[in-house]
Formats: sequence, structure tokens, C-alpha cells
Amino acid sequence: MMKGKRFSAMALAGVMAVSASFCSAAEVKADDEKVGIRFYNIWPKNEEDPQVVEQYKMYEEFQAENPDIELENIADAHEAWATKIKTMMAANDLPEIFISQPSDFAVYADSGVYYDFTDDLEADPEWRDSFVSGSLDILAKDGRVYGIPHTGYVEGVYYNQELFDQCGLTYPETYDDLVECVKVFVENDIVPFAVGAKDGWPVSMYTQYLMDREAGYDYFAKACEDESTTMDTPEYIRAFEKFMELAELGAFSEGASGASQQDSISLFTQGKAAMMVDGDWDMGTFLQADNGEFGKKVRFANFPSIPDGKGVQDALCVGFGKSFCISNSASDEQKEAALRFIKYMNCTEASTRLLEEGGGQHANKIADVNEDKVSELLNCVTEYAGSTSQTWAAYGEFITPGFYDEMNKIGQKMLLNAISAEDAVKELEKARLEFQINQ
Amino acid sequence: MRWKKMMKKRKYSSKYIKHYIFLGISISMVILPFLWVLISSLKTKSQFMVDPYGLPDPVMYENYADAFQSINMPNLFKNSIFISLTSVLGALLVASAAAFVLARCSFKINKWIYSFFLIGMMIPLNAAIIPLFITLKNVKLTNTYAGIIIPYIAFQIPMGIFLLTNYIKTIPNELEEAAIIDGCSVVQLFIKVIVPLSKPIFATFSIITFMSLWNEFLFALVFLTGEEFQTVPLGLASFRGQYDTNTTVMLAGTVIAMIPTLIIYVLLRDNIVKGMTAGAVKG
Amino acid sequence: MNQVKNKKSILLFLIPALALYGCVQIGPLFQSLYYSFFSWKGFGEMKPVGLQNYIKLFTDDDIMRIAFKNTFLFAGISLLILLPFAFMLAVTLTTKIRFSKTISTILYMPGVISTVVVSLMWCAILNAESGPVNAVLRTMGLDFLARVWLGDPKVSMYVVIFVNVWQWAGYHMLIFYTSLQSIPGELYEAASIDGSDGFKTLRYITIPLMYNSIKMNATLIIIGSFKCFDIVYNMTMGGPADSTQMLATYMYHNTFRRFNYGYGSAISMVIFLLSITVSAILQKVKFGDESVSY
Repeated sequence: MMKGKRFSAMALAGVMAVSASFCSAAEVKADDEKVGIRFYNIWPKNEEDPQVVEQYKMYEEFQAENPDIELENIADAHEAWATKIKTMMAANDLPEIFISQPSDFAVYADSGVYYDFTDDLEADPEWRDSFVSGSLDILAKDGRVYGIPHTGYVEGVYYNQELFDQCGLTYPETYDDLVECVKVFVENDIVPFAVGAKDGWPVSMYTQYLMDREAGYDYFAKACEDESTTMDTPEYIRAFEKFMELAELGAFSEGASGASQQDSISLFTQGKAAMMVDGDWDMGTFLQADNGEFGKKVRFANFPSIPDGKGVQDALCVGFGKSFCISNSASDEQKEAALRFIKYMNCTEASTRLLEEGGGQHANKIADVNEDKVSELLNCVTEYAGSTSQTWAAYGEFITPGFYDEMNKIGQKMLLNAISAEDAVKELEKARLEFQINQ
Repeated sequence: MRWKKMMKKRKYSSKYIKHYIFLGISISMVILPFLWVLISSLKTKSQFMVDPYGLPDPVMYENYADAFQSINMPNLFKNSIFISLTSVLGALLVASAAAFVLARCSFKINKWIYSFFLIGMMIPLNAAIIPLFITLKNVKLTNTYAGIIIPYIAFQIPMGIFLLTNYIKTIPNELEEAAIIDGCSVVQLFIKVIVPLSKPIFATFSIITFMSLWNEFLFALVFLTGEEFQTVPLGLASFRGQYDTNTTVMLAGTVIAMIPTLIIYVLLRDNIVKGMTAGAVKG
Repeated sequence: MNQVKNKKSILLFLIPALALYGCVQIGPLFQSLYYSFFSWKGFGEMKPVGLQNYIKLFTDDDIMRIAFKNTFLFAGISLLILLPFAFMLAVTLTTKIRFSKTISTILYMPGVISTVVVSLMWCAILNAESGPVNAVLRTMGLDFLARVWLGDPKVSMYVVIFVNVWQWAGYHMLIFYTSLQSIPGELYEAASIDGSDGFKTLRYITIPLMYNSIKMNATLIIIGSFKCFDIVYNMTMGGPADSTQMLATYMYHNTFRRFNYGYGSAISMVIFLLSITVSAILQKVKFGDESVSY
């Protein structure tokens, strides 16, 4: 019967489709001569960020210079990447080249998914020495390097000089000065600080500075290693109290808790907010905003000091975070190709180019910089980074993801005045024990 | 007399005015959000920020082109279609076979097996996802078509058995008895008699399964991490991060994603409703 | 036809379904149970911890409490709003009004599109600065009502519940509607001849006959709250400050973001047991006299 035949045909098609799907298309289709490698990163195409534009140019140049490699660029926004990369690492299903960071490395270092670069570095001392000292340590364990650092960051306060002038203010030196500035801004209907609290981590850029000014970096680092060093201290309570004081004065944008990092950047570049604690990865966007007009108004400075705080008062948050890594399950040809790409993107020349496009610090030392392309702002940042008496890595970079998550959440709650400073510190201490010490 | 008739008429219309108002409000609550999304998706970014409910000026058709390209819509659609279709076929095949036996054969544990299958409808996906993930990872099926299709098929089986078994039971026996007298084997019986007669319920089941798999999110999120396998919901979800401040383009993307489902819905509405409300009426 | 086929054929037809279902839906439940007694990162060493995960879950986890509360809140409010509302819609549609098919088609529309699309739409609509909700409130002079809908922990959960109701009202209405339509008109005529008014008809005839659909809707809503993941993930990710965390999202969070596979498994076990228990209870509860038939 015809109908019966049709059903059998359908069934057959179904079986075929099912078996076809068993073909693991996870292997990149490589032509006979080309080696296919996938590059999973956090830089989606963005015309407004000159650094990203330059990066895309570099991908194309690499492709042209290396016709035997087929490079596939897969980019996700930071949040989406943060979730997916964890699932990928758990499934041991990583693209050949992927971006990782110290906190994920802390969990997965022993899992064997990371390729070991140590020998490659030994074999190419020129390359190895082009890295700023200390940068190769961030994704390293027991003397072996598992990730090539790429983005460095300098986190500080970017501010809109024009708005300061309008209100007759100068950039605050101390915390008390800051409070005064905040009050004046609020009176003038200007948002003092733009912050994208919805994403969580932007808030921690603020709280970490306050914590550091009050208690100092060494204390924090110690508390992350040693169980008996508690975080439930008067210093941290004071730090959180200050943060909440600022929140109560209206220092943060009204929709901050629902705003993303991108939203807060918009607020700042539109001239509605006077300041923003941010990293230099956004410098290119600041410089380019409003057809370059905004770039003329934006300045950089260190976070205000707290004169009787225990921390080093002019310490600056500087470090390296996002790193290029290779998946250990890639084939040898793929690993070789991946290494070539990584060297291309992480060397003096690359670093210099990205810097010239407003990209800020990278892990490789720079040389022969075209002075014309370097902005005032960048010089300012570099000067600070070079002249402070202490630099420390962003807290979020070296603590476990669980602890970082909690820190972000506590920051969010404080912003919303949903918790007291004492309770916030208690929660911090609890999170420290649960997620940092007992991991 | 006429006076009374007129009174009756007035009562008639005023009685229903309340209904129309009630329904009218409900409908607007559904339509207005869609309308707003459509209008906003055609605005420029700057106009959108300042003018929440005006008409777009200029009309930015480019937003749609942007959205289409930037999340690689063709790939998303291709994946969603392939995965959903294959899963539907597979589920149909497997569930209909089992339903046939459950409906027609009386063997001792028939009722138990039927109930066993039906329990599945009450089990939320969440309960199984972690072990499934681990298992798939161990057999290296994460991030493959098979790795998502197999779970999809399995989770549709309870619904399939429910719908199909009850339907097959209503097929009169005479045809089969005639076929048996003619010497049909069991398999032939299934293919040549039951299947053609079950086409309506097959259609219903296929359509509702297709639609619910097309929209499925959790499994896809966990099992499909690679770019090449992203389905439409996944693509949209990661879209959001990239287009945080470019809401107009993001909305254009959502409209594009909505269109296929809406078209299918409008065309096959009756079948869909039938399938989704099965069980509302006893027996 | 009850002729017993030979055992072989029966097995042939049943095995694929049983195997797939058993291995993919039922099997993992036991695996989950197993994992829940360990502390595990997803790879590497599995440390047995006995009942510790469960103890922690019930006594020492603030967010778990929030997740429980939110899930029950979700179920409760959805029931209280959706059931009567969907019922009223369905009843209204069965009266002699025109365009009932078009209307019901429109009402069910949100239920056929993906939850991701719904989430993104509403994120844009509820956006504190550029969304029409706040804009309309401000134009009407109701500034004080405008707030950061998805950023304010006090209202965020209610907002999520609202969006969910928006998406599924049409579906639940359809279920009631289908059920209503199967009640023969003669019953109503007989009732009105007997002197029953609208209200009495509703109470003594309509509702008991809709027992099945009421049960179905209630079950769907309650189980739905245990499953609820997509909306929260796409609108708020459980935030701000965990105010919209639900059982399913918290399970995901612990497993795939915190690498706590053992603890996550414990949570999913709890979800499973709750679902089964609630479903079983719902099966037994009588909303009316089941023996009523016509």
C-alpha cells in the first residue's frame, strides 16, 4: 500500500538523519591542506571600540600570512562567555583556542584541559622575554605555564573634566573630598558614579578599592590563603560603611542595579555621569565616543585615599587577566597552528598596535610606539601605573569564582541598601570560608 | 409587544458589551507589547532612547539586516530545523510503536507499563540534566546533534504514548481483524493499517512536539556549547549580551525569531490547540 | 482486538521506547541520587559526604530558602491569578459573541513563541529608562510608581511572575475553553428551565463538569513553577541579589557556575521529589464530584 511505503520511507529517513547526527561535527571541517582552528573569545565585533576593530584586522592579516590555517573566530559577550566556558571546561569540550582567566584556572588547573606552554616558551626566549615580568605567572602552576596572558588592566577612576569644571570642583584627593564632590554633583543633577550593578562585577571594582584603602592588599591576600585570618574586621566594616554612605548620598546612578556595564559606559560617555571606576579596556571606547569629543574631556586618576586607612594609599589596581589558552584535546597540527596564532597576537608588535588604538596595557612589552597615536589619557594611565608605590591584581581575578560571585552579590545588596555594613562583612567572611578556603 | 422586544434587544447587546470590553482589554494586553516591539525595532538607537512610543523616523530596515547577520540567523535556523525535525521523526517512530502495542495487546503488565511511561510527564527536566550531561560528556556526545536529539526524543515519549495510545484505542477493530485474516504479520499490520489511520494524531503530536522542541532552552544551553550548533533560542540569548545597548537591533532579532513560529501557528492552529489541550476533556 | 501477539513482536515494539525512556529519563534520576551524596567538581575526585548536601540545603543555605519561597510564591500567585482569569476568559468566549476563534488565537499567541523571545521583549519593555512602562507612568503623572522593575529586589520576582502569566494565560484559557465546549448545550437549557440563574449554573453544573481541566491547569502551573528556568535565566539570571532565584535556576547555578555537582544533584533530587509528591496529591484531590457525567 502506498501509505505504508510512505511511512517506511519516513522511518528510513529518520534513521538516516539520526545516524548522520552521530557524526561529531565538533571537528572543524578542514580542507585537505588546511588546519582548522576555532578561536573562542570575548571580543564580538564592535565598531565603537577601536581596539576591537584593530584586533579583527589582525585576525585577517594572520589568516593572509598563514594560508595553511583556517581560523574561525567565535565571539561572545563577557557574560555569555563566562557561562559557556565553564560548561565547556566541565565537558572537556573546548575549542582549540579559548580565553581563560585566573579564577577559572584555579578550579580547572588540574583537570588536564589546559595545554602546557612552558616548553614553547623555553624554546623561544625572545618571545618569553617580551612579556612584562610577572605576567606569565597568572595562569601558572608549579612552574609550568598554562595560559599566555593577553589583556592587562589598570582599574581606576575615569572622570569627566568638563563636568568637574562646570561644578567648580577638582578631582578629590581623599575620601572626604570625594563625599563633598558627590554632594555637589547630586545637587546639580549629575550622576556622580556610573556603575553597571546588574552584571555584579562592576560593583566590586568599587568595593575592592575601599577595602584596600582601609585594610591593605596584603591582608586580603593573606585572608584568601589562611583560614584563621578573618575578614570580619573593623577595617572592612568601615570600608563597607563608606560604600553605603556613598550609595545613600545618591552617588550611584538611579537605575544602577538594573544597568549593565554597557549601560553605565553609555551613561558616562553621554556626559550624564561624572565618574566611573573602570578598567583601561574601555579606554578606546571613551576616546572614540561622541566622535572623539568625549576623549578630550576624560581624565584618569587613582582612587581617593583614606588617610587613616591601613592600606597603601596610592596603590593602584593593575594586573593581567584574560589569557589565551589551548585545549589539550586538540590535534598536534591544531596545537601548532594555535601556537602560531597566539604568538602573533601576543608579542611586542601586537601589543604596541593595540596600545596605539587605545587598547591600554597588554602583557607584552611595547616598543617603537607611534607617539602621535598615543592619547593623553593613555600616558596618564601609564604614568600612574609606573609611579605608584604598590600595585595589586584585581581581587576578583585570583579568588575562586564562588567567592567572587558572593562578593559581587554583597556589593549589589549594599548598593540597594538591602543589608547593613556589619552583616555584609559577616556574609563576606562566611563566603570566604565556604568558597575560598574550603575549595 | 414591540416595547418588550426592544427591551429584550437592548438587554442582549448590553449584556455582551461587558464581554467585549473584557476581551478587548485582554487582547490589547497581548497585542500592545508585540506592537511596541515591532515599532521600536525600526527606530534608530538615538530615537529609541528618547521617544518610547512615537513612530520610527527614519525607518531603519537596516536593523533587521544587522540582526540577521550578526547572530548568524541562517545557521541558527538550520540547526533548529534539523534538530526539531529529526527529534519529531524519532519520537513519532518510537512512541507510535509502543502505543500500538499498549493499545492493542492485553498482556499482564500492560497497565503498569503505560503508567510507567506516564510518570515521565511529571518529571521535570531539571532532575535529569546533571547526570545526562556527565554521561554525554563521557561518551563524547556533548555538542553534537545526536547528543541533543536523543534526550529530546526520550523526553517526548511520555506525551506521545499518552496521545497515541488513547487514539489508537478508538480505531475500530474490524480493519485489523480483516487484515489478520488476510495473513498480515504484526509489523505489516502496524504499517499498513494503524499508521495510515493515525495520521491525524501523528500530525497533532508532530506539530506540538516540533514547536516545543524549537523553543526548548535548558537542554540546548547545557548540551550545545559550540557556535556551529546553536539553536534559535540559544542564539537569541547570547545576542542579548552583545546588543545590550542596541536594543532596537535586538528587538529586530526577536521579531525575526518569532516569525516562523507564528506562521506555523497560524497555519496549523487547530492541530496545535487540539494537541495542547488533550486531557482537558475526560475520555 | 485483544489477541495476544507473540511475545517477540510485543518486545520489538516496546523496547525502543522503554530503552530510550528508561535510560534518558528514569536512569538519570538514580544517578542524580548517587551524585548527591558526594562533593564533586564535575571532574576529578568525588568526595563522599553522606547526607551533608541535604542537611546544608535545608538548614544552612539562605539562598535555598529564597528559592523555595520564590518557587511557591510563583506557583501560588500564578494559581490565584491564572485560574480565575483564564476561566473567565473561557466562559466569556463560549457566550454568543463573534470572533471567538480569532480572539482565542490571539490570546494563545504568547504561548507559542519561545520564552527567550518573551524574556527579551519584556526586558526591553520594562527597561527603567527607555521602556514604555515607565514612560507611560511618568506621562500620567504617576512618577512614584515608576521603578527599576528588574533591578529592584522587592518587585523583581513579581515582575517575573507577571511575565509568566502574560505568556501562558491564553494556554490555560484554551484548556478551559476546550473543556467548556464539550458540555452539551441541553444541560444549560434544562438548568434554565429549572429556574437556575447564571451563578447557580456555574456552581453546580459547569465547574463540576470541568473537573478534569481544572486539575490539568493546576497541575501544569504547579509543575511549571518547579521547572521554571528560561524566564528567570534570560530576564534576571536569578538576581538582583538572588531575589528571583528559583529552585531550577539555583540548581543550574550551583552546578554549572559554581562547579558544585554534588550539591546541585541534591537540589535536583529535592525538585524531583517535590514534583512527584505534588502531582500525586493533585491526582487524588477532588475538585468536584468525579462521578458526575452526562
